[in-house]
Amino acid sequence: MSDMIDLRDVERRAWTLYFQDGLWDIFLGLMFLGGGLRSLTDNLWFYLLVLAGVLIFILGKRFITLPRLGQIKYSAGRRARTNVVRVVALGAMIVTAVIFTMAVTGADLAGAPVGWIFAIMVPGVFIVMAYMMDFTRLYFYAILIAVFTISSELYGDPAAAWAQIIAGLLPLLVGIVLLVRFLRTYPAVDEETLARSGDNGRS
Amino acid sequence: MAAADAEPEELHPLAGLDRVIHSPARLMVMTNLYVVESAEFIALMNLTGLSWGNLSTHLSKLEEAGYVELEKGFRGKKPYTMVRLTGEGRAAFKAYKEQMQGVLAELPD
Repeated sequence: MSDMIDLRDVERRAWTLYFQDGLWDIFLGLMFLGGGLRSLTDNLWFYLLVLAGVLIFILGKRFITLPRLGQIKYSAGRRARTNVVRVVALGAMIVTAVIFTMAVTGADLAGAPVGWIFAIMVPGVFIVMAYMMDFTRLYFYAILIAVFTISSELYGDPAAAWAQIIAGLLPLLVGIVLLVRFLRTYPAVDEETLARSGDNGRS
Repeated sequence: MAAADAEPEELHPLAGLDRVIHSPARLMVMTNLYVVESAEFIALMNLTGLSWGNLSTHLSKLEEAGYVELEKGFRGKKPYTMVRLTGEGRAAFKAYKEQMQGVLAELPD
Protein backbone atom coordinates (compact mmCIF):
# COMPACT_ATOMS: atom_id res chain seq x y z
CA MET A 1 0.00 0.00 0.00
CA SER A 2 2.76 2.38 0.96
CA ASP A 3 4.24 1.72 -2.48
CA MET A 4 0.95 2.57 -4.16
CA ILE A 5 -0.25 5.59 -2.19
CA ASP A 6 1.93 7.89 -0.16
CA LEU A 7 -0.51 9.66 2.17
CA ARG A 8 1.97 12.49 2.82
CA ASP A 9 2.15 13.04 -0.90
CA VAL A 10 -1.63 13.13 -1.20
CA GLU A 11 -1.82 15.67 1.63
CA ARG A 12 0.97 17.77 0.09
CA ARG A 13 -0.87 17.75 -3.22
CA ALA A 14 -4.07 18.94 -1.56
CA TRP A 15 -2.10 21.71 0.14
CA THR A 16 -0.06 22.91 -2.85
CA LEU A 17 -3.15 23.00 -5.08
CA TYR A 18 -3.69 26.53 -3.80
CA PHE A 19 -0.25 27.72 -4.94
CA GLN A 20 -1.10 26.99 -8.56
CA ASP A 21 -3.04 30.25 -8.97
CA GLY A 22 0.16 32.34 -9.17
CA LEU A 23 -1.23 34.96 -6.77
CA TRP A 24 1.66 34.65 -4.32
CA ASP A 25 4.08 35.19 -7.21
CA ILE A 26 2.21 38.24 -8.50
CA PHE A 27 2.04 39.69 -4.97
CA LEU A 28 5.77 39.21 -4.35
CA GLY A 29 6.65 40.41 -7.86
CA LEU A 30 4.71 43.66 -7.44
CA MET A 31 6.17 44.16 -3.95
CA PHE A 32 9.78 43.82 -5.16
CA LEU A 33 9.07 45.81 -8.34
CA GLY A 34 7.43 48.68 -6.40
CA GLY A 35 10.33 48.84 -3.95
CA GLY A 36 12.92 48.72 -6.75
CA LEU A 37 11.24 51.42 -8.86
CA ARG A 38 10.87 53.64 -5.81
CA SER A 39 14.57 53.28 -5.01
CA LEU A 40 15.53 53.99 -8.62
CA THR A 41 13.28 57.03 -9.14
CA ASP A 42 12.74 58.21 -5.56
CA ASN A 43 9.04 58.43 -6.45
CA LEU A 44 6.84 57.32 -3.57
CA TRP A 45 3.92 56.62 -5.95
CA PHE A 46 5.59 53.35 -6.88
CA TYR A 47 4.61 52.06 -3.45
CA LEU A 48 1.12 51.85 -4.96
CA LEU A 49 2.39 48.75 -6.78
CA VAL A 50 2.93 47.14 -3.38
CA LEU A 51 -0.63 48.06 -2.41
CA ALA A 52 -1.87 46.69 -5.75
CA GLY A 53 -0.05 43.44 -5.01
CA VAL A 54 -1.80 43.12 -1.64
CA LEU A 55 -5.21 43.88 -3.18
CA ILE A 56 -4.71 41.45 -6.08
CA PHE A 57 -3.71 38.74 -3.62
CA ILE A 58 -6.67 39.21 -1.26
CA LEU A 59 -9.32 39.77 -3.95
CA GLY A 60 -7.86 37.08 -6.22
CA LYS A 61 -8.00 34.44 -3.48
CA ARG A 62 -11.58 35.47 -2.68
CA PHE A 63 -13.01 35.81 -6.18
CA ILE A 64 -10.79 33.65 -8.39
CA THR A 65 -9.25 30.82 -6.37
CA LEU A 66 -11.92 29.95 -3.82
CA PRO A 67 -14.84 29.64 -6.29
CA ARG A 68 -12.73 27.39 -8.54
CA LEU A 69 -10.95 25.20 -6.01
CA GLY A 70 -13.33 25.28 -3.09
CA GLN A 71 -12.18 25.19 0.50
CA ILE A 72 -10.18 22.53 2.30
CA LYS A 73 -9.78 22.34 6.07
CA TYR A 74 -6.37 20.85 6.69
CA SER A 75 -5.13 18.53 9.40
CA ALA A 76 -3.80 19.72 12.76
CA GLY A 77 -0.24 18.93 11.59
CA ARG A 78 -0.56 21.22 8.58
CA ARG A 79 -2.09 23.97 10.68
CA ALA A 80 0.83 23.68 13.14
CA ARG A 81 3.31 24.15 10.27
CA THR A 82 1.39 27.23 9.12
CA ASN A 83 1.51 28.60 12.67
CA VAL A 84 5.32 28.23 12.68
CA VAL A 85 5.41 30.37 9.52
CA ARG A 86 3.19 32.97 11.21
CA VAL A 87 5.43 33.11 14.29
CA VAL A 88 8.61 33.44 12.18
CA ALA A 89 7.03 36.16 9.99
CA LEU A 90 5.79 37.98 13.09
CA GLY A 91 9.29 37.81 14.61
CA ALA A 92 10.76 39.32 11.44
CA MET A 93 8.12 42.08 11.47
CA ILE A 94 8.93 42.89 15.11
CA VAL A 95 12.66 43.14 14.32
CA THR A 96 11.83 45.41 11.36
CA ALA A 97 9.52 47.55 13.49
CA VAL A 98 12.16 47.90 16.24
CA ILE A 99 14.86 48.97 13.74
CA PHE A 100 12.43 51.35 12.00
CA THR A 101 11.39 52.89 15.34
CA MET A 102 15.02 53.33 16.35
CA ALA A 103 15.80 55.02 13.03
CA VAL A 104 12.78 57.34 13.26
CA THR A 105 13.44 58.29 16.87
CA GLY A 106 17.01 59.28 16.05
CA ALA A 107 18.81 56.37 17.71
CA ASP A 108 22.41 56.06 16.62
CA LEU A 109 22.48 53.14 14.18
CA ALA A 110 25.79 54.13 12.60
CA GLY A 111 28.01 51.09 12.51
CA ALA A 112 25.08 48.76 13.13
CA PRO A 113 24.85 46.17 10.36
CA VAL A 114 21.18 46.96 9.67
CA GLY A 115 21.42 46.17 5.96
CA TRP A 116 23.08 42.84 6.61
CA ILE A 117 20.48 41.97 9.21
CA PHE A 118 17.80 42.33 6.52
CA ALA A 119 19.98 40.61 3.91
CA ILE A 120 20.07 37.53 6.12
CA MET A 121 16.71 37.75 7.87
CA VAL A 122 14.35 38.24 4.90
CA PRO A 123 15.70 35.40 2.71
CA GLY A 124 15.84 33.29 5.90
CA VAL A 125 12.16 33.91 6.53
CA PHE A 126 11.38 32.92 2.93
CA ILE A 127 13.39 29.70 3.28
CA VAL A 128 11.48 28.79 6.45
CA MET A 129 8.20 29.61 4.65
CA ALA A 130 9.20 27.52 1.62
CA TYR A 131 10.08 24.55 3.81
CA MET A 132 7.15 24.71 6.21
CA MET A 133 4.60 25.47 3.49
CA ASP A 134 6.02 22.98 0.95
CA PHE A 135 6.09 25.94 -1.46
CA THR A 136 9.25 25.29 -3.47
CA ARG A 137 9.15 28.46 -5.61
CA LEU A 138 9.81 30.47 -2.44
CA TYR A 139 13.35 29.02 -2.32
CA PHE A 140 14.00 30.68 -5.69
CA TYR A 141 12.47 33.95 -4.48
CA ALA A 142 14.62 33.76 -1.32
CA ILE A 143 17.69 33.69 -3.60
CA LEU A 144 16.38 36.69 -5.55
CA ILE A 145 15.83 38.62 -2.31
CA ALA A 146 19.31 37.69 -1.10
CA VAL A 147 20.77 38.96 -4.39
CA PHE A 148 19.15 42.38 -4.22
CA THR A 149 19.60 42.90 -0.47
CA ILE A 150 23.28 41.92 -0.65
CA SER A 151 23.69 44.10 -3.78
CA SER A 152 22.26 46.96 -1.78
CA GLU A 153 24.96 46.49 0.88
CA LEU A 154 27.83 45.97 -1.55
CA TYR A 155 27.02 48.33 -4.42
CA GLY A 156 24.14 50.57 -3.32
CA ASP A 157 21.78 52.15 -5.84
CA PRO A 158 21.19 52.09 -8.77
CA ALA A 159 22.66 48.56 -9.05
CA ALA A 160 20.61 47.29 -6.09
CA ALA A 161 17.45 48.98 -7.39
CA TRP A 162 17.89 47.31 -10.78
CA ALA A 163 18.52 43.97 -9.08
CA GLN A 164 15.29 44.45 -7.14
CA ILE A 165 13.35 45.40 -10.29
CA ILE A 166 14.56 42.26 -12.06
CA ALA A 167 13.81 40.25 -8.91
CA GLY A 168 10.28 41.64 -9.13
CA LEU A 169 9.76 41.00 -12.82
CA LEU A 170 10.65 37.32 -12.59
CA PRO A 171 7.99 36.27 -10.04
CA LEU A 172 5.51 38.64 -11.68
CA LEU A 173 5.93 36.88 -15.04
CA VAL A 174 5.80 33.45 -13.40
CA GLY A 175 2.65 34.51 -11.56
CA ILE A 176 0.90 35.78 -14.68
CA VAL A 177 1.68 32.58 -16.60
CA LEU A 178 0.48 30.46 -13.66
CA LEU A 179 -2.69 32.51 -13.28
CA VAL A 180 -3.59 32.14 -16.97
CA ARG A 181 -2.93 28.40 -16.79
CA PHE A 182 -4.96 28.18 -13.57
CA LEU A 183 -7.95 29.94 -15.13
CA ARG A 184 -7.85 27.54 -18.08
CA THR A 185 -7.43 24.43 -15.92
CA TYR A 186 -10.05 25.29 -13.32
CA PRO A 187 -13.14 26.91 -14.84
CA ALA A 188 -15.65 28.61 -12.58
CA VAL A 189 -18.51 26.40 -11.40
CA ASP A 190 -22.02 27.80 -11.73
CA GLU A 191 -24.22 28.24 -8.66
CA GLU A 192 -26.80 25.66 -9.70
CA THR A 193 -24.14 22.96 -9.89
CA LEU A 194 -22.72 24.08 -6.55
CA ALA A 195 -26.16 23.86 -4.96
CA ARG A 196 -26.71 20.32 -6.29
CA SER A 197 -23.27 19.06 -5.21
CA GLY A 198 -23.54 15.70 -3.52
CA ASP A 199 -27.29 15.37 -4.19
CA ASN A 200 -26.99 12.44 -6.59
CA GLY A 201 -29.22 9.53 -5.74
CA ARG A 202 -31.32 11.45 -3.23
CA SER A 203 -34.96 12.43 -3.46
CA MET B 1 -8.70 -28.55 9.64
CA ALA B 2 -9.31 -29.59 6.07
CA ALA B 3 -8.82 -26.99 3.38
CA ALA B 4 -12.48 -27.32 2.42
CA ASP B 5 -13.56 -26.35 5.96
CA ALA B 6 -11.40 -23.25 6.07
CA GLU B 7 -13.09 -19.88 6.03
CA PRO B 8 -12.92 -18.26 2.56
CA GLU B 9 -11.30 -15.16 4.07
CA GLU B 10 -8.43 -17.26 5.40
CA LEU B 11 -7.79 -18.56 1.93
CA HIS B 12 -8.42 -15.29 0.16
CA PRO B 13 -7.39 -12.30 2.28
CA LEU B 14 -8.47 -10.01 -0.56
CA ALA B 15 -12.03 -11.29 -0.24
CA GLY B 16 -12.25 -9.64 3.17
CA LEU B 17 -11.44 -6.19 1.87
CA ASP B 18 -14.03 -3.48 2.38
CA ARG B 19 -15.74 -3.37 -1.01
CA VAL B 20 -17.19 0.07 -0.40
CA ILE B 21 -13.66 1.47 -0.27
CA HIS B 22 -12.10 -1.01 -2.68
CA SER B 23 -13.03 0.80 -5.89
CA PRO B 24 -10.47 3.15 -7.46
CA ALA B 25 -12.74 6.19 -7.41
CA ARG B 26 -13.97 5.74 -3.84
CA LEU B 27 -10.46 4.90 -2.67
CA MET B 28 -9.28 8.21 -4.15
CA VAL B 29 -12.07 10.08 -2.40
CA MET B 30 -11.43 8.34 0.93
CA THR B 31 -7.65 8.87 0.65
CA ASN B 32 -8.04 12.57 0.00
CA LEU B 33 -10.52 12.97 2.83
CA TYR B 34 -8.34 10.93 5.20
CA VAL B 35 -5.44 13.40 4.99
CA VAL B 36 -7.54 16.51 5.65
CA GLU B 37 -10.27 17.45 8.10
CA SER B 38 -12.84 18.26 5.44
CA ALA B 39 -12.98 19.38 1.84
CA GLU B 40 -15.47 21.18 -0.30
CA PHE B 41 -17.14 19.19 -3.09
CA ILE B 42 -15.30 21.17 -5.82
CA ALA B 43 -11.99 20.66 -4.07
CA LEU B 44 -12.62 16.92 -4.08
CA MET B 45 -13.46 17.08 -7.79
CA ASN B 46 -10.13 18.78 -8.47
CA LEU B 47 -8.14 16.46 -6.22
CA THR B 48 -9.61 13.24 -7.56
CA GLY B 49 -10.17 14.25 -11.18
CA LEU B 50 -13.69 12.84 -10.99
CA SER B 51 -16.55 14.49 -12.82
CA TRP B 52 -19.42 16.11 -10.90
CA GLY B 53 -21.77 13.17 -11.54
CA ASN B 54 -19.21 10.50 -10.76
CA LEU B 55 -18.19 12.13 -7.51
CA SER B 56 -21.83 12.57 -6.48
CA THR B 57 -22.53 8.89 -7.13
CA HIS B 58 -19.52 7.69 -5.17
CA LEU B 59 -20.19 10.09 -2.30
CA SER B 60 -23.74 8.77 -2.09
CA LYS B 61 -22.39 5.22 -1.69
CA LEU B 62 -19.89 6.33 0.93
CA GLU B 63 -22.59 8.28 2.74
CA GLU B 64 -24.93 5.25 2.70
CA ALA B 65 -22.14 3.22 4.28
CA GLY B 66 -21.78 5.90 6.96
CA TYR B 67 -18.22 6.70 5.90
CA VAL B 68 -18.71 10.34 4.94
CA GLU B 69 -21.00 13.16 5.96
CA LEU B 70 -22.03 16.09 3.81
CA GLU B 71 -22.81 19.52 5.14
CA LYS B 72 -24.41 22.18 2.99
CA GLY B 73 -24.08 25.86 3.65
CA PHE B 74 -23.75 29.30 2.09
CA ARG B 75 -20.71 31.51 1.76
CA GLY B 76 -22.34 34.87 1.19
CA LYS B 77 -24.92 33.96 -1.46
CA LYS B 78 -22.93 31.06 -2.89
CA PRO B 79 -23.87 27.54 -1.85
CA TYR B 80 -21.21 25.03 -0.92
CA THR B 81 -21.02 21.40 0.21
CA MET B 82 -18.37 20.31 2.70
CA VAL B 83 -17.49 16.63 2.86
CA ARG B 84 -15.72 14.92 5.76
CA LEU B 85 -14.96 11.40 6.87
CA THR B 86 -17.00 10.18 9.82
CA GLY B 87 -15.25 8.42 12.70
CA GLU B 88 -16.49 5.17 11.22
CA GLY B 89 -15.12 6.13 7.80
CA ARG B 90 -11.73 7.03 9.22
CA ALA B 91 -11.56 3.71 11.10
CA ALA B 92 -12.68 1.80 8.00
CA PHE B 93 -10.01 3.45 5.86
CA LYS B 94 -7.33 2.73 8.46
CA ALA B 95 -8.42 -0.92 8.63
CA TYR B 96 -8.46 -1.14 4.81
CA LYS B 97 -4.97 0.40 4.64
CA GLU B 98 -3.57 -2.09 7.16
CA GLN B 99 -5.27 -5.01 5.44
CA MET B 100 -3.89 -3.99 2.04
CA GLN B 101 -0.41 -3.53 3.50
CA GLY B 102 -0.64 -7.04 4.94
CA VAL B 103 -1.84 -8.56 1.69
CA LEU B 104 0.84 -6.83 -0.40
CA ALA B 105 3.59 -7.67 2.09
CA GLU B 106 2.82 -11.37 1.66
CA LEU B 107 3.16 -11.27 -2.11
CA PRO B 108 6.35 -12.81 -3.47
CA ASP B 109 8.84 -10.49 -5.22
